[in-house]
Amino acid sequence: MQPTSSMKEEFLKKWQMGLEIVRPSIDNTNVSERKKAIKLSADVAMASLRKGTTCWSRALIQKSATEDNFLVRQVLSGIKAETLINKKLTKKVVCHRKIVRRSKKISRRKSRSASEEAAAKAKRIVKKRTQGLRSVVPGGEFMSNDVLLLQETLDYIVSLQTQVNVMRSIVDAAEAEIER
Amino acid sequence: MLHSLTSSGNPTGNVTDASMLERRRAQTKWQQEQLQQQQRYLEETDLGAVFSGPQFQGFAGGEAGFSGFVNHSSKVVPGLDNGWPELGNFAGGGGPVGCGFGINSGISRTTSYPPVVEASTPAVAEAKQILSVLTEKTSSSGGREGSKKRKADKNQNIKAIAEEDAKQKRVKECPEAGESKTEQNSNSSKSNTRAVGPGAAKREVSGKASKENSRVTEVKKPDYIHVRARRGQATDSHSLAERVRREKISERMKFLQELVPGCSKITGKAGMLDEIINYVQSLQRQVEFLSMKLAAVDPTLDFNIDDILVKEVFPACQSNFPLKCLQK
Repeated sequence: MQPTSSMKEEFLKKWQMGLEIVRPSIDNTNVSERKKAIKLSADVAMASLRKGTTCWSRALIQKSATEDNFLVRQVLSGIKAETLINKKLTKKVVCHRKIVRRSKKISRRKSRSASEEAAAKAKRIVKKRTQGLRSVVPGGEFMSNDVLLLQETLDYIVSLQTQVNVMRSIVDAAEAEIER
Repeated sequence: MLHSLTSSGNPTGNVTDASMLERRRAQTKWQQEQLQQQQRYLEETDLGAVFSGPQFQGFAGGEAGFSGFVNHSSKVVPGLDNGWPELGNFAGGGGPVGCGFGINSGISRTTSYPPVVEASTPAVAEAKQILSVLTEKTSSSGGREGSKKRKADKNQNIKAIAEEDAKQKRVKECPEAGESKTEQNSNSSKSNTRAVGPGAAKREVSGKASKENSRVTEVKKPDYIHVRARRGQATDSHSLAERVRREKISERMKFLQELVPGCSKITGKAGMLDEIINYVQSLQRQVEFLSMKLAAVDPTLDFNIDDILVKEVFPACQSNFPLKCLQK
């Protein structure tokens, strides 16, 4: 399950488009601002690869939208229709509340039953790790069950690998240019 | 070659045990040679074996009037039995023993006969060879199809034959031998149904059809997924659902194990989750780092996408692509 070249290409195209939109607004800022913008555009490009089919991508888009709303919307408008994003956002909020409520219930039930020694301990550790994974994967808090979480994690890891691969190759190319 | 025919021509069966054993030893030797030939033959004519097998069966079956034809060697014996009545008793007595011998030695059962058959007629010998090829084929195909039923059937047949061998060693010339063999045939008719038919061509077709049928059943098998409760496991819908969920989780975990480097050595869910979290975090940090680097390196954020695309597709020619930003 390594990132395919077609995926890389697509990501690169989208990222490029996002950067084109971002560039004029951050042309004369300092390094950290530029870094933020680059990361944001890369994240949005990565999330847009999935076209909103996965939980993590939707969460990522939403998060970046709240972080820097205008910019992200501009970036995304270059990649996708803005209306689509708005729809997803509203849908997601409704979904979130429901899922959060459900997950709270489940956690209460589980804590009551944890009375056995080793098994309960192992269960608790696994649960803790799962929570950790939830916090690491964007939108993980809203994934209702473990199966979904693991599936999303799989997809997220593949996307991250794509992102890292492309970014690294670009950085390498840029550094090679500087050395020349 | 012919001696077996002549000896088998004695209906009284005054062949002694010792001579039988000797002959059988010779047969096994011959049979090993024959087996090699058969393998060669099998390689050469894979389809031909299937085709010509039924031909022989038609020949033997026609003479014997057998419908349920066994695909192991004992089949030949009954054929001989009825085809040449004078052979009958000898064949009945000696045949199964040889057959058992063949089984014991772990070689194809049919091969233990060829000398006898060849002795009787060259045509039969040919057919015999073909038949043995066929049996080999059928057995192998049975293995491929993995139809346990059939295998079990065969095993049963083999056992039955072995038992009957023991009996028939004692009562060599008793006329029951033929009958018992017919019983065997009926027992093993399941495995032979494909070979049953009036004409060789028709048989071939039917054989093919049955093969196809078996294939179809084979394909059909994995269509439905059983959620089976093992012994002592709960069968109510909740525990079944839980089991399915756990299976799904373990499946995803396997995929993750493949994806995350260094995760394959770790056993246990907690450790694996730890490793996954670490990996994801490291990837996220890498993205941060790379974007930082890019921001420091590339002030205008303007790079030539086509060049990079080419570089992505053909990573071999990496260094030849100038970045627009740096030319500015």
